Amino acid sequence: MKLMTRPELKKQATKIRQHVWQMIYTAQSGHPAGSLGVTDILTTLYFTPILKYQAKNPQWPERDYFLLSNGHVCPALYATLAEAGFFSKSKLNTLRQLNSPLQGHPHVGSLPGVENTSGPLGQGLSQAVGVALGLKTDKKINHVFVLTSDGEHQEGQTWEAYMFAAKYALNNLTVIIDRNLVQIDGKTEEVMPLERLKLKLASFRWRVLETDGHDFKDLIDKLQKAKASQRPSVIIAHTIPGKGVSFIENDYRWHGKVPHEAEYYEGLEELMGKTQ
Amino acid sequence: MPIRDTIGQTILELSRQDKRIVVLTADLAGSLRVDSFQKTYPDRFFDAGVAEQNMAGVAAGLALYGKTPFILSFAVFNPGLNLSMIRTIAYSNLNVKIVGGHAGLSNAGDGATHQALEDIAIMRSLPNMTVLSPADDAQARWAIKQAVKINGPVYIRSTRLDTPTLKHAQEFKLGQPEPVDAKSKIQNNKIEVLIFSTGPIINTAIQVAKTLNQQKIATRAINLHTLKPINTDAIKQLITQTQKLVVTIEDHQIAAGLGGLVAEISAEITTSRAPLLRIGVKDSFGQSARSAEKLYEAYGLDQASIVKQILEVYSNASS
Ligand SMILES: Cc1ncc(C[n+]2csc(CCOP(=O)(O)OP(=O)(O)O)c2C)c(N)n1
Ligand SMILES: [Mg+2]
Repeated sequence: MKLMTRPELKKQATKIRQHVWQMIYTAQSGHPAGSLGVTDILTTLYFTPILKYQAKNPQWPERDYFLLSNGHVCPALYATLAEAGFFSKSKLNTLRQLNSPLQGHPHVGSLPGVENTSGPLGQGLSQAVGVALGLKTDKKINHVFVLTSDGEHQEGQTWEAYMFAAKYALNNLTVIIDRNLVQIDGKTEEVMPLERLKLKLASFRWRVLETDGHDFKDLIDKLQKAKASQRPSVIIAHTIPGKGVSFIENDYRWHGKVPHEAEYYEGLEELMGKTQ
Repeated sequence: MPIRDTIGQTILELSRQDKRIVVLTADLAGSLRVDSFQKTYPDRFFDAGVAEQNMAGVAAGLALYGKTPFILSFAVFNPGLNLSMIRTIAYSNLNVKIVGGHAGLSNAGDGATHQALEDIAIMRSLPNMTVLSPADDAQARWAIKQAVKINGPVYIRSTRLDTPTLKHAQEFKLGQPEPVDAKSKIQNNKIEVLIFSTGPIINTAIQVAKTLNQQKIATRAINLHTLKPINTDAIKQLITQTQKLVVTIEDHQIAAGLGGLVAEISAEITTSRAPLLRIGVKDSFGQSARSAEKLYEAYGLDQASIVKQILEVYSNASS
């Protein structure tokens, strides 16, 4: 793969955002805020050499694993996988349609590149721990990345998984937290405060890194550091929910809201403007 | 009015008189329609965040103390994710009211992970648990009132659909089957096909009964708003009065759900009885669709497919 420059990564991410916006509008349901917010993270993973994969050979035994825990942001994953060549982009507009492999929440086995089932929050990190544990047991060097949301750090299971991974020193595991500060009922710090998140994670004996979730240089740097780390690492990615469509940015009410027609075209225009 | 709206409203209304009532949700105040409760009684509303097990555990403690907590989330998580805690609530016979929202295939878009098709099976197997499955707003209102009256754990199955209000001929009684085709003139000793259903899909069952009656097949539709406790004698009597076929229709797995329930009761009948046809989700998960209607069609739960399934078995049973 030819290395993408930062402007190229930015362009790639915008293309993914255009898909996401169109997919959710076509389906008339889905989660725009989180999906647009994690797009730069997914772009960095799939369009730099950080995540080892073969799009045409998704079961390649030497691949790195990417697991998605906050399944509701799957439009971004689906669009990223299609852009990366795992399946045809023409499938994207079938999101949430009857018999579509693009289920409302990801289902393992339905779509190439989807490594796990998610939707019920708080279950992804445990599954990633299991994959990392299996790899480590067999002395394999593949790395496991798992994307989680901040909201699902309110689930006890997430912390049970952190504890487990620390016990077994799973240095082949990197967690990314989409720290967008919102969830359904409002701001995370009002619904159920997570702070001081960094200290909590550190006290669970994880290496904690922080990044601007929209700065490719920073993202690449922290993901590389985490991948090379001798300890299980977690990256708190500070993101803007709804990133790229300015009138929905940072507004928790766009967690699971579909734009109406005028909003849709306004958002699309803004996203299109960015690839001109 | 949608069942979930009525549930939220009724909890709010009862809370004016009954100061013991408190409400907990797990980051789904709007979806479960308790956002107005939150505004009205901010001191009696607690958002647990995305943490259903802890929500149920805190509710257990509130009940131990003497409060009447309602806990509300999607049925896939409540009781789907916090079952062990709810089992402890049932074992302790604590006064916790559990509302499972978006049950069945009603939440089409989100797909299988968000479609509870096993909550009736789970909850009706728990001792001390009362299981209510309202079919319309009138029954939802009744269910919440019952729940508060009962001193013990109660599960209320809720849905996302906007459901029409049924014409009810009689008062609802806990555990009592409710005939919902009151106008039908068939005598009990002439019933050919007997349909049991529960929840909003009763509307389809009523239409099915109408179609069959038009085809001169004497059909009676019965709504089971209570799945536990249940008057088994009344159910047995209805079944033994039925000449050709007993049918169950549910938005749930047929295994251990309504179909399972009626099969268990029917199997205890010692005299001869009509065979049972269970219509519902058959050992498969749900999936995404652009509308609930499309999904019900795909799972053979629309009126036309149900009539077809019944006629097939009916004609075999008759010949
Ligand atoms: C176990 C579980 N409980 C509840 C839900 C419903 N739910 C879906 S998304 C969500 C909000 C969680 O916050 P976050 O993941 O941070 O959302 P975002 O930032 O993407 O808006 C909730 C409560 C769920 N999917 N899983
Ligand atoms: Mg969030």
